[in-house]
Amino acid sequence: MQDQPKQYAEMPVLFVLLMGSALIVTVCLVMEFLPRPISLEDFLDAPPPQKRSLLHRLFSTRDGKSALRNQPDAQGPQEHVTQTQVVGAAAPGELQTVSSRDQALFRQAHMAHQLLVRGFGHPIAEAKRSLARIPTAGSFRAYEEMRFHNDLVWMDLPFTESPAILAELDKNSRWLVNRPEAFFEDQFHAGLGALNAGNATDAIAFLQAAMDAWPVADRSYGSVHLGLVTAYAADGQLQPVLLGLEDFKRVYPDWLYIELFSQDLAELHAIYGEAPVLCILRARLSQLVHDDKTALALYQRGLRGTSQDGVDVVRQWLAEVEVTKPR
Amino acid sequence: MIVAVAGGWSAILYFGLLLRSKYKLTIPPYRRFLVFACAGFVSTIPAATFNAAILDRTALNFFETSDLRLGVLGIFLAPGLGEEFWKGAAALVAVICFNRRERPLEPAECVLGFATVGLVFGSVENIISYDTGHGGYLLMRGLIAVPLHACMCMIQAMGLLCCWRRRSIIPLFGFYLLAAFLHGLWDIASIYGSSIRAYWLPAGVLTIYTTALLIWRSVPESASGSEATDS
Repeated sequence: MQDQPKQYAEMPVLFVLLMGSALIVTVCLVMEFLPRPISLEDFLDAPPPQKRSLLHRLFSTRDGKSALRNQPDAQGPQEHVTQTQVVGAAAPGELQTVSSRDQALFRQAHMAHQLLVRGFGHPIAEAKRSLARIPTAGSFRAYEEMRFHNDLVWMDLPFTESPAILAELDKNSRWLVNRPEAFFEDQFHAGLGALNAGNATDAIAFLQAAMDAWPVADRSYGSVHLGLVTAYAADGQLQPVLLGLEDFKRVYPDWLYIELFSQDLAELHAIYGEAPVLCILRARLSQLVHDDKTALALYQRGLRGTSQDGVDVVRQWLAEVEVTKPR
Repeated sequence: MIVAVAGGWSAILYFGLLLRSKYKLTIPPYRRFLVFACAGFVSTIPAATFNAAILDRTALNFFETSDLRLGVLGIFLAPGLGEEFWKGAAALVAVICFNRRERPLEPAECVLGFATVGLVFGSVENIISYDTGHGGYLLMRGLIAVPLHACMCMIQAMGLLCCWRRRSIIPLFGFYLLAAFLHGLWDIASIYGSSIRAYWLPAGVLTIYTTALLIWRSVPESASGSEATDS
């Protein structure tokens, strides 16, 4: 080291540039392919202000806390709780739709991401990637992920309706309903899937089971009721339809907003053909909101194709429409 | 203030010891060492950012992961390759600036300059990252971690001297990787090695310090032997 060699600057510069680039590229690759897993608690608890994502901004409350947190209802036992909804009513205080607190938190994360996808146009792939980072030890993961996927397909159905999508929904819903984690909501979805896939008989079975297991008479219960009545109509059974329409207004509080479901009912003709009982159902629903013109046309279509018991009641409804029909 | 003193006292002590042990015939270029110290300070910024990216955004968070393989990989990447690179890069930038504007670096100047970068880096790391630790812990880090950073930088300085002497970039990479490897082993032992810690840490300290002292002993105060001035 006694002689002073020439001190080239090129080699240190080259070293800094090469090594620096390599390190930065490595970190970027690691961030892409080995992202940091996040715990459910991390995910749901409010993060520090500088790290607030859209998700957390969305769920932030006025007192600065996040609505995405461990719900008191979810503070149940960690061990498995029997899915009572499949076999009967849940006992008071028992978890209704999940088998563990972890599953409840996991589903909460899914629902939050659904909101992001639906309300804010977040790409589904990004939401799935984000959810995949949540480590869960429970066996419910496959079930919950399929629920998330299926729910998103349901939401997209009005825009992407096709036989393939309907078949996929039916298949996924049947897979879900056969899982040990399944509960009444899955039976409802399986019923709708079967109904849209052209299998009204299976749909009736699923929807009847969903109604029997549904724990409260809320708006969703009304939707199950409408689904069941529609399934009977698609199956051509008039008597159960008449029975279901008896207290329809009470059971289905959204009957007034016929535009929410009339299109869906009309589209069932593409699957079930003329389906006279379906026409009668649509006619009665139109009559309830005083759309007598539509009701009259549908009653006439329906009565042309059916002569079952109960037709008298339908003729009576038709007479009421004819009295009040617009000129 | 207390944290700054507890975290940085050893840097001044070690710098003084190194200075006193080498500069017998010439006046130490204090201004240059000050620039190296600034470089060491600046290097903590990208190093901290790099470490934060690894810890916060990847699965290689060696403080949290239960997967030993990922933890080891994270240690070699963040404190190993990362910290050593940013320290070395900062020192190299200072060296390049000196060589473009002033006289070439003397070998001892180069090694002590790199060591200064490491000492300042270790001190800032103590003050910023471990300020919540109790005083005894800071003192211990001052005795072990701060000179360790300096030793790693001295190894990299040796790479630069060899690079110039052999007119090849390979020694730069070789000594850098050696420093990163030793740093990684050190951190693995201190974070994970409950059973090997008792053996590896003292052995590692002795090995690394001995290597650094041998390097320090091998570099002459002045390449020409003539009295250098920095005025």
